[in-house]
Amino acid sequence: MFRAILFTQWKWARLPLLLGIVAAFGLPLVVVQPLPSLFAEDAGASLAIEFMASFGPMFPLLATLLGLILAVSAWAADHAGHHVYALSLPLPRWQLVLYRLGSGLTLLALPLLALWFGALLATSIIDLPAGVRAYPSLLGLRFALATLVAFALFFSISAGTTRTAGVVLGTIVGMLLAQWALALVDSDVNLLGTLFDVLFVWPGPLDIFSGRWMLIDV
Amino acid sequence: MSDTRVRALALGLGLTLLGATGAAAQGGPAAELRDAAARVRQLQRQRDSLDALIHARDAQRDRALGWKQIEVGRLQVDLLPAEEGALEPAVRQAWHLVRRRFGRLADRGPLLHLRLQRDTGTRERPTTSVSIFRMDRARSGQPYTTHRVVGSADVDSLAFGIAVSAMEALNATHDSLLTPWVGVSVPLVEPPRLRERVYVHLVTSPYRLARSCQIGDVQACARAFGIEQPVNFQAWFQPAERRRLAASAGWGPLQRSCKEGGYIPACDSVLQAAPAAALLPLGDADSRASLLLAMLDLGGSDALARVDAARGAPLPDRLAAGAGVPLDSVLRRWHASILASRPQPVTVRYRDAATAMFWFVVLMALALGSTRWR
Repeated sequence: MFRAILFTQWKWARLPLLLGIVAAFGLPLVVVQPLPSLFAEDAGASLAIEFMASFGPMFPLLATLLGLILAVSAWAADHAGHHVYALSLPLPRWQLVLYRLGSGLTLLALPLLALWFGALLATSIIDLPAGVRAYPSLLGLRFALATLVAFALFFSISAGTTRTAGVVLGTIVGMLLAQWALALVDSDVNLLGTLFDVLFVWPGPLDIFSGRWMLIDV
Repeated sequence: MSDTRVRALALGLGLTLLGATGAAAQGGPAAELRDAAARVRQLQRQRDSLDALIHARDAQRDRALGWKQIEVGRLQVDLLPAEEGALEPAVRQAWHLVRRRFGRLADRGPLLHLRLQRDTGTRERPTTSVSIFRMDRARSGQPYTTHRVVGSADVDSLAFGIAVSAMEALNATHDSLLTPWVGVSVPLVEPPRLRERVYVHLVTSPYRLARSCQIGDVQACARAFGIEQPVNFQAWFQPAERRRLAASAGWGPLQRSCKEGGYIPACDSVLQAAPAAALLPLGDADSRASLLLAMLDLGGSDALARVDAARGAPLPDRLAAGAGVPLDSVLRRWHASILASRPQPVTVRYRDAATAMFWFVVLMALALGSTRWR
């Protein structure tokens, strides 16, 4: 049963997944491209660090996209078919959810490994000056954790009803509107800032996304 | 107002040139010079009368508006009586900020003349215009020569805007504040991530001196900063480093020969010809500003007054006087503060990993717990 579900999820998600694998493998290679010329300049190493920092947000963004694609694709066909196929299976719902989860995680391993190999390759082809270090494995681990959290978040939303998704989306839109209304009346209340802190500051669920995402650093 | 004066001045200069050109075409050199001088005097008189007219009109307008002058410390502030209640607390707070940095130097300094005015016009939020008389740019006419607009109405933001304007004026009037060496003015507050940037700069610098400084050799730090003078390029820098230094120190055939040809004697000549033009390992503005801040941390609010009192002394003595401790101690303090500012290293803490896994499990439990199929 697991193999069948894995195969169907692969079929549903293969195109964006393949693109994700290519992006995950290529991103570290792309970000290190300008480094050799930067290292050759006076004070170029600190410029290179700043350059890496400016590219840092690309990694959590890619992690989010991968989690989103695989989580949504795991449930999209069920939603489209009004769960007839799922109901016809001789399985309790929780078991189906676990199969879907297992299949999603198995597929997710491919881009995670691709990013790790890409990071290892990218850092092996450049000569680093004194004081600068490469962090391919730590970046890969962090990317994996962030992707897992993003996948879990979107998976749990997708696994729920349309109403659940509507409630989540409505809450976000409601907060944006409330913040806009507060700004109109010159209020200093910062709803979005508070929400950001709750989500991204430890022990918030998205804490792993915050901080420095550096392949090369001091 | 200033536009009118600029136009009058430009007109005057243009006419002077025209007159001088015309005279050159008609008479002998002595007569031409006399005519030109007379014309210049005439234009100066015209400019002065225009200035007087502008003054009179400004004064008339000010009387009509009814400006009120308040004095807080050495801040002399013009404001409209209706706005006094809203602006005075900010002025008091601004003086406190200035005094905290400049200490006795601010108390003994010249009166700083400001004008504050609110603009409640078409903008969504009212702004406050802070104008200040810059003594280094004194000229005839309206005295307000630097303007800053503070967009936020709260006292803290306004006080900061006023204090920054006042500090610009103070910095400009005190060469004693090491501005020529530091390359930046004394900051009111430490710029964000300054020491973090200096840490990265220090540990990634390609120079041997910087590496020695990094491991705590304070003499190497002094040399890398350019505090120890004269710079002994040949003793302190290896040939490849001298080539790198010379690349930033000018232009011309010697520089080309150094940079492109790699001819080290040419590099040495470039450095000897313009030693001050070479960017030393810690000669950048960030590094020097961080040293200045270390000195201020040690010396407290009277540090700048002591630096001022040591005017004319060599740079190391002035830094030591400001900090109130020997230069080595200043450098050690700077070194410790920079090492402590290392950016958060790339790492995945157990706490973060555990939190991520915890939320993963929670979200999965939510997915499993859903009771409906649609």
